[in-house]
Amino acid sequence: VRKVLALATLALACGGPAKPASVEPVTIVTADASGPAAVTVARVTPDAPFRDNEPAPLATEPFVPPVAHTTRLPNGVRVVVLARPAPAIASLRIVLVGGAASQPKAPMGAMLSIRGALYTGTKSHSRPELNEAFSALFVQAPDIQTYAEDVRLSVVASADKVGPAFDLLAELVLEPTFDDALVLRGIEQSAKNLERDEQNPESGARQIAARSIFGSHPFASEWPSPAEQRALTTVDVRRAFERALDPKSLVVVATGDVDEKSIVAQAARLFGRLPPSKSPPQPISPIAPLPKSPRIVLADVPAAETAFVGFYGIAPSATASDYPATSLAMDILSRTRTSVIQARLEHELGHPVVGNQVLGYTVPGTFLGVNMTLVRAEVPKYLETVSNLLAGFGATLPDAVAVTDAKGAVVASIQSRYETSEDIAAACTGLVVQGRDASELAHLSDGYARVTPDDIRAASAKYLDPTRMRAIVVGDAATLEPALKALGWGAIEVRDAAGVVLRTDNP
Amino acid sequence: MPTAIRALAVFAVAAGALLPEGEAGAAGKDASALVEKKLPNGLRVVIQEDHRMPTVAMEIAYAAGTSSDPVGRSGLATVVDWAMTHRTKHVPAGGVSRTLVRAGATTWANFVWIEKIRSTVTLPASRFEVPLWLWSDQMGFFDESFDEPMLEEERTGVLASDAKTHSSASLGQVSDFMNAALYPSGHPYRAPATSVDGLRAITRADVIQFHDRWIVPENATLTLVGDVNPTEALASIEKYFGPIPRGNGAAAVDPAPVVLEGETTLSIDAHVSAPEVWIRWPTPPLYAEGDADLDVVSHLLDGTSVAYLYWKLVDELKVATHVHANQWSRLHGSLYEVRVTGAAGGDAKSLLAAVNVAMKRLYDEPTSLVHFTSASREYLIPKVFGVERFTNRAAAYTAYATNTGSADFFSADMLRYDAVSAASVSAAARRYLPRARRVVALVSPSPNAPVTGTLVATTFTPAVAP
Repeated sequence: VRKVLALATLALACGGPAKPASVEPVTIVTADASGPAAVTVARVTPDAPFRDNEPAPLATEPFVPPVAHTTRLPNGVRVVVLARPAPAIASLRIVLVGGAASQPKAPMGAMLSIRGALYTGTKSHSRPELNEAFSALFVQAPDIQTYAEDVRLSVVASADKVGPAFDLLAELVLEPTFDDALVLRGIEQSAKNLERDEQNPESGARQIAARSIFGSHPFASEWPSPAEQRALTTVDVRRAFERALDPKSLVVVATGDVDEKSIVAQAARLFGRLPPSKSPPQPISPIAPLPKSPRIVLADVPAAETAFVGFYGIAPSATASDYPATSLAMDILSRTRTSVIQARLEHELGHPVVGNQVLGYTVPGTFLGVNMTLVRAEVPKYLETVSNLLAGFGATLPDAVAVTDAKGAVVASIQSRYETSEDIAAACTGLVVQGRDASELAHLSDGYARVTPDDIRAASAKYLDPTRMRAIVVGDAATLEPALKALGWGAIEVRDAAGVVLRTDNP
Repeated sequence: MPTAIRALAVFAVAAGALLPEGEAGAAGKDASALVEKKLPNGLRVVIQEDHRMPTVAMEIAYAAGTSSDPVGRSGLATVVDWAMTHRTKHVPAGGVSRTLVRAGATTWANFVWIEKIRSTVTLPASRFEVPLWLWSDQMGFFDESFDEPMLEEERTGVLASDAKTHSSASLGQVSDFMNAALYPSGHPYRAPATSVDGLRAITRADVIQFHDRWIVPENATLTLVGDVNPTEALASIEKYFGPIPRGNGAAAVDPAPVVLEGETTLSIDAHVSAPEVWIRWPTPPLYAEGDADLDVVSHLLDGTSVAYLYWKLVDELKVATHVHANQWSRLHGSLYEVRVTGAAGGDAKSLLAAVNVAMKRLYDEPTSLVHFTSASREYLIPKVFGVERFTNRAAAYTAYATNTGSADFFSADMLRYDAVSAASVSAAARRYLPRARRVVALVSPSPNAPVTGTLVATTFTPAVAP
């Protein structure tokens, strides 16, 4: 019976009848490998040679991505449009390039609080009226995000509502009232969220890593403490916003089913007379290399059974020639479920680290890192294993297959940025914030195609040297510190769960 | 309101109104209508062409989940899912991830939900046969590759995951205590998704029997959305899945509706820094009358524009720091949940009293048209615009096909909200979220209690007949 079924399946695989041959279920009884009990296997699928190997790629037409166009208004405002007529959805963004890091003298958290403060009302609409106005357009209340390098307001609208949605979005930027009660409510809520983050070892660890790496650099301003957040006033936030609102820093991004001429004309009407800021955003200075000591920062979460552990270092800027190679190295090291780190770690620990996968971050121009959660007894083994792997990464890896896979993943990832109007807007915004032209999106993958294994080795040696990275461990210091000292990596900086330095223990 | 919602539903009808017509990218190819087909072995196939990008989003879903676990085997569905994606006859250990990476997949994931097991992937259209190869091997060539060492490996992995998210997690047991009070013995929603005892009890025979009962063609829906030709795609699907025989016919699960006779209050101590109050009600099933109303209720209680709970508890009384309200829509009876984290130093009983006051507004005062419109649109807008993404559309079509028998249900789903009004929302809150018939968990901070929570007392107050 099996032979007949296999032949029938083979015939199908070779272009046989369009419909599969009828397969009668076959019942067999096999011995269970676990013991004498039998397992009834009621179904057998006929095997066929085509199942032995993964299918070959099919021929497809090359993808020709649409290209973004940028228009600069006389006062410096830029308007980026990438039109794609269907589906009838558009994404609109107003971006203020230069976020928290470009205002080093602003109180910690002031720029970040713009997120809540901008949506507290305008001269024309109270906050409830804004909700009503957006809702009437079938547009969700704007998503407002603040980062170290930019502030973004975005909405998604149906194509026929783009004009009024753009007017309303612009109103938030041009006429904010900074309602005192609502701004302070937002500040308090942010402080509560920060406190909650501190209780979560993973998010707490990222904060601690950022503070440890950035030190006094303005990038640290993206990571205020709850106390710093609560110390803010509405005036602080208003001033920070007024400094950020400069025509040379303002970029409108419109993507999807939009008409470029209409968008540019509307942008000119809305922002063409925007005066320069009296104190425009400052250029952000590069981050200084990390000192060699301390290599380990231990944040104490008493009695925690698990620990969060990772290595962090300084990343190249997105426009640096070795950024693509660094990005590919990080991809090979930490890509979900095929991570080199995870494979090596599982080999060393002798068991899978499922549910606690390696995560990797590369934030262009700021920091990169790999991290994961482990039971605390395994932390020293993690540090040793990953340190050895990073140190030898350039010499032993990557092989040609790994590089090809990583390049393929990056190219697919770049293509995926064209899926929705919002994706396209986000990709264009990212480029603009990095100081690049949005049209570069169309050939972004070229820089990755040119990368060679030698480039990756060089980038790894430069950016992934474990002796120039910080090992961040968040967990129970009482049990972890002795084990970490035994590594012989020099001084250990001990912080509390909130990231405040408690002491530095020299060996 | 109805006119506005109707217009919006027309705007979104069957996702087709939002899809490219004619242009569909520079290539000038057309987006197509939905293609639905059932193979002779019962596999349901849904395909939609969309040539904006050279990618395809794919999903296979089985109408089974953690609620399909036999009594005493909590975690079986998860073990089966992990094992299937670990190794099958033609795909070596770790081969799924490696193959998908090489094929250029940008995202892929597996989900084991209460009544669904899903695999999803987005990858270049030229490689759409790769998931067909992997998934057909999981469906048709699993049993013979599954051995005892593999069971132990999966058991270890799922136990570790359970420890992180459930058995050792902060307040990880609270949900278990509540479900035990909410659902009668034998109800499919009573047991946790995974448990240490259940996982330790699982045998190889359990895994194979589960697989042969549920991971079968007639219990699956396969969906492709993206840059594919339906005729070519169907031919490939028939090649990979056509020879897989039907299963043995799983008996339909149809538990009796849950009716609470009063209020059960669970007093729970836990090593946490602030008190919490969790409240749960059994509510109408997915798509049943009241389900859509309760979706909107959630956005009245805990929305971005309207937030009765947050306004009262956090802003006004300052007794809470976080609130959450949600209708968990399920096929055999939904679950409505309100969860409130109190301010440090407060107590759970006082917090519950404040929650009752906040909820009273929903019961006693008519919902204003402005609040209703904001809340209902807040729920609908992401659903409507979400269909621009291939993955979302594949997920929606798969869910509709699995749950209703037809993937072409987007319009009907959206139009359910046409029947919802400010008045019906208030009525639904009074009818389905009664104060006298619910399960309440009062979580009190206790430094000597476990972080997972320990049940210290249960009280029951019968509801007074109306």
